[in-house]
Parts: sequence; structure tokens; C-alpha cells
Amino acid sequence: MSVVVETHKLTRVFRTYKKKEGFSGSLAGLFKRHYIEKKAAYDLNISIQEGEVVAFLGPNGAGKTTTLKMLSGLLHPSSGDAHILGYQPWKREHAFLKQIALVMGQRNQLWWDLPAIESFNLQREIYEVPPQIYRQRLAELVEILDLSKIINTAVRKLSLGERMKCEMVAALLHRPKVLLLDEPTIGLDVIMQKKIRSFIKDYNHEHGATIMLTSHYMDDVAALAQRTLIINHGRMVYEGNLETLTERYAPNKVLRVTFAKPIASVDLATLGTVIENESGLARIQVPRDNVAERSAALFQKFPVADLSIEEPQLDDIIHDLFLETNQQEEKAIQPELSAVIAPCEETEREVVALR
Amino acid sequence: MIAQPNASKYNWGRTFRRYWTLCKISFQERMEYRWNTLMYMVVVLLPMLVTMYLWTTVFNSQSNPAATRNIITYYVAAGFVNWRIAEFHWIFMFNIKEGRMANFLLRPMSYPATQFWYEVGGRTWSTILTVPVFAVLILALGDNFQMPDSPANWLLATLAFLLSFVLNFFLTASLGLITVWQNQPEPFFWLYNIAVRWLGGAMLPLALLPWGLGDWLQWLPFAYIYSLPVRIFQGLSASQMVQGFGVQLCWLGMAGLIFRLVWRKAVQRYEVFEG
Repeated sequence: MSVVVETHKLTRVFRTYKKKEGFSGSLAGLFKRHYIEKKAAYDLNISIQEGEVVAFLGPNGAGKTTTLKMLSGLLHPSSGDAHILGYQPWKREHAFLKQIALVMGQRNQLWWDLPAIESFNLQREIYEVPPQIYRQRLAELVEILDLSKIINTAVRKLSLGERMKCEMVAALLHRPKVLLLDEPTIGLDVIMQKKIRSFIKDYNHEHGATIMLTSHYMDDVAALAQRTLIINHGRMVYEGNLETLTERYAPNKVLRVTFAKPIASVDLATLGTVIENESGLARIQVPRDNVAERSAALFQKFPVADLSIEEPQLDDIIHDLFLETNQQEEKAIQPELSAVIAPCEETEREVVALR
Repeated sequence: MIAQPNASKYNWGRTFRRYWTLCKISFQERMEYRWNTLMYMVVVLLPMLVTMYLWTTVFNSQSNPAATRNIITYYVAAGFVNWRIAEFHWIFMFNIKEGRMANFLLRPMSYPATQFWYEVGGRTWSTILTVPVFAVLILALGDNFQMPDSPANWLLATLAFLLSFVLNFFLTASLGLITVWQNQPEPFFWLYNIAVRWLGGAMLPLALLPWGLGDWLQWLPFAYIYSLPVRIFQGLSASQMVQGFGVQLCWLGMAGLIFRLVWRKAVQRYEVFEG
């Protein structure tokens, strides 16, 4: 299998004006401005194989969308390099653009005042899809996504879910080899989220498309991604599959037990950490590797009516990962901060002494 | 890594079909709102009536029918050009600020060409609406409006108008791209709008300007946006015509080069606001 997406030290720096607070700050800004530089993406090395589905995760402002914009050719990087299907994205060669699609859940690419079918027809012309193939693909997509009743309705009158499905059709009519999805299920209800998810999965299976998606919904990630890339403050903090991530950042599982009669927490503590124990219902945290052994012990020692094993929530795992990386970063910049703060404190002391 | 396939040959037929579809989309969009269509015709007519009334009053007081006819014809033609010339700086600004330009940059087609042909579609629709309004106005003006002597004047004036449309596209699109560097470029736009209308002859015929200013202004691009098509419509000598088209083409080439340069820099700088 060949590498379809490859980046080398991809970096994008944004320069923004930092306004001082209040009216005087605005007045001062007329004469002198203080700019700060923010590294939205920093030294990113990404490699994605043909046909792979990769989840690209991170908290708000981590640099996910910026990276996707660079990979789709919308943004020029400040430094570093990237190749998708052998093309440098920001050169925006038509041969490259014909093979990719970027779908952003919050951006509308359909003509607002016209029915979606008009946008589809334009897509056909833009991507030079032969009429017969176009009709066939459109019929197929319309059927899968159940759009036949709405493709002749003005886009402005469609619901968010219906619009998103139409966006998907518009993005896939030219059958892109690389699909970049930025929050494709944002704002959709649970049923619609499931539909979109299964549609993306099928598209990947049937056409072998390489898919990179960002999402805040961990169900999207669990259902679709074979591999996960996680960034925080523009830097890559994790790369690997979900199982490894879970093992590394969630070494425990939780046994949820219903007893025939209440059991004291002290007795249960021999099996693991008791998180909750009330009215015969207990939650006990046990090491991942000892789940079978501790479960068996539970059945032997206590009157168990029901037992289930809970995996920690993916959201919690990723939350813990972000916390850890944030703490590491704080530690790393502490000496730099001290170097800046110490002279200031010294000056302050001198001023006080002079007074 | 996957190797790049060989680039296929450029296909003009496909390109034409693509932009023709875009024109049709723009056309259809305009037809979606019926009240807007009706109001557009009223909005075109009202200021023209006020202008006609003003200049008829001014010139009738001087009892010079030829001058009256001349100025009325000038304003009707200039009014038509004014309503038909598209200004792209506002469109580019909104599309940059609201992130809509990104939708077009992701597709294998040129964003400036897309915007140009989209506007051509829209303008074609509004021209269809404007023609009856102007026809009624010309009929109402009677002898105060002078039709061109020869059909060649119609043709050449139309050609000059089409070139001025493209010239104004290059100038205003370049101006609109300032948004990439300057988030609130409106003051530049206002300045341009004032300059192009006053120095281009849309507000006042250049020949009426004092101190021979009109002669100097013939060397600026603005005169080739508004004034030239109108002057050709009213009748120019062959040598004046050649000079007019010559200078217009020079400005067109120059404005095209400026636009190309600004576009290249702007795309590198573009930061895609809104998501």
C-alpha cells in the first residue's frame, strides 16, 4: 500500500494583534500595536496509507482545522512540507483538486437559494464527470442517503441534517480518493449521526478512499477510525490505534456489580478500588489485566446478581491525555517564564525601595 | 508515495460548459425572488428620472436644444453603463471575510473566473430587466434623446462597454483582495468609487470639467470604464475611436497584470476566516 498523505515538519504560524483591555487600550492601539504569534500547527509529521481512516483529534483550538486546510490546499504553511497523492496541496493543481474533497460541517458549499440538484449539476461540470456516470452515482447516493424527496427543494429550506447529507453528495460525486472531513456530524441528532457514520464507512470500504476526519464525538472515532492522531496546541501528542491509547491512558476497567444483598466497602476493597457502593450496587475499579481473575473472585466470595464490565469513556481518556500534555508543556515553559518574571519582580522591588 | 499522473490537455469546450452552467445558476438565483425583480426595475428608473429632470431644467433655461439633447443622451447612456458595470471589490471582500472564497478554492476551477462569470450571469438577467426601463425612458424623452447615426456606433459602443466591464473587474477585484491584508478595506473602496465616477465621467461629462482637466483624465483608466462607451455611442471620429480603444486595451493589459500579481500574493496570504 502506498502513502497518500505525508507531511514533514508542517508548521503554520498566525500573527494576531493583541488589544489591551478597554477604551484606553483601543486608543493606544491606534498608535502602537502589540502582535503575538501563535503556532496553530507545529512540526507535524503525518503519514497516512491508501485506504486508511484516520481520526484527527484535539481540543478546540488545537490546530486540527488549520492542518486540514493546509492539506486541502486552502492555507500555505509557514514552514515544512506536505504531499497528498504526490501533489503539494497549496499549489492547487486541478489534477490534485479533482481527487480530494474537504467537507466542513459548519460550512455550506451548496447554492443557498437553489435546490441541491442545481449544485450537483454544477459539481458535475466542475469535476468533468461524464453524464451517464454522474446520473448513476447521483441515483446511488440519493438512494443511500434517502434524498429523493428533497433534492428539488431550495437548500435554505432544508434541515441541518438534510443539508449535511446533500453536502456529502456534492463532495462525493467526483469520487475523491482522499476525503478530509471536519466535524461531519456536528449539530446532528443521534440517528442522523449514525447514518452519516455508516455512509462514510461504506464509502471507505467500497472505494478504498483515504479518510481523515476530525470530530468531537467519540462515537464517530470509535466507529470509523483505524488509527488516531491527537494534537494539542499544534503539536502531535499521540499517534496509534485506539486500543493502545486505551491501554496506555486507561490501565483500569470498572466492574459494575449488583449484589443480592448489600456488602460492606471494606470487604470489596480486597478486589480493587471501590468507586461507589450503595443499596447493593457497586462500581469497583480493577487493573485491566486482572479483570477475569477479579470477576471470578467476586462470584466466589459474594452473592452476585448481575455483573457488567465497563470500558472507560473515550472522552475521559482523551481528556486525561490533554491534561497530561498540558502539564508537561507548563513544566517545559516554567524555566522560561521564571526568566521573564524574575527581572520584573526585581524591578518592582527596586521601585518599592525607591518610594 | 503515489506519483503524479500526467496533466491532461486543457479543454476549452469543457471550461466553457462549466462557466456557462455557473452563469445559468446565477440567472436562476436572481429569478428566485420575484419582488426583488420588480423592485430592481423601480430602483433603476427613479434616479434616472431625477437626473433627467435636473439636467432638462438646467439646459432648457439656456434655450439651447442641441446642448440639452446632447447632455440628456449622455446621461441616459452613462446611466445605463453605470447600472450594468459590475463592481467586484465588495463581492471579494465579503467572500474573503465570511470564508466563502474557500469553497471555490477547493474546486478545480479559477475563483476569479468563477466570480466573473457568476456576475456575468446575474448582470445578463438584470440587463434584461433594465432594457425595457430604458426603452420607456427613451420613448418618453422623445426629441431630447439622440439615437446614434449608424448601427456601427451601437456595436462599437457595446464592444467598448464589454472591455470596460473586464477592465473594471480587474481593478475592483484587485481592490477587493486588499481584504486579505486589511480586514476593513471599505475606505479604499469608497475612495475608488468616488474617483471612478467623478474622474471617469459617470457624474459629469469630462468635457465639462474646468482647466482642461478632461484632457488629462483621458489618460487614466477610469475614463475607459464609463466615458468611452458613452462617447462612442454619441459619435467619435475614426482617429478618436482608434486612440480610445488603444488606450483602453493598454489599461486592460496593465490592470490584468496587476490583478494577476495581487491574486498570487493574496492567495498565499489568505487565512480562511470562519471555521
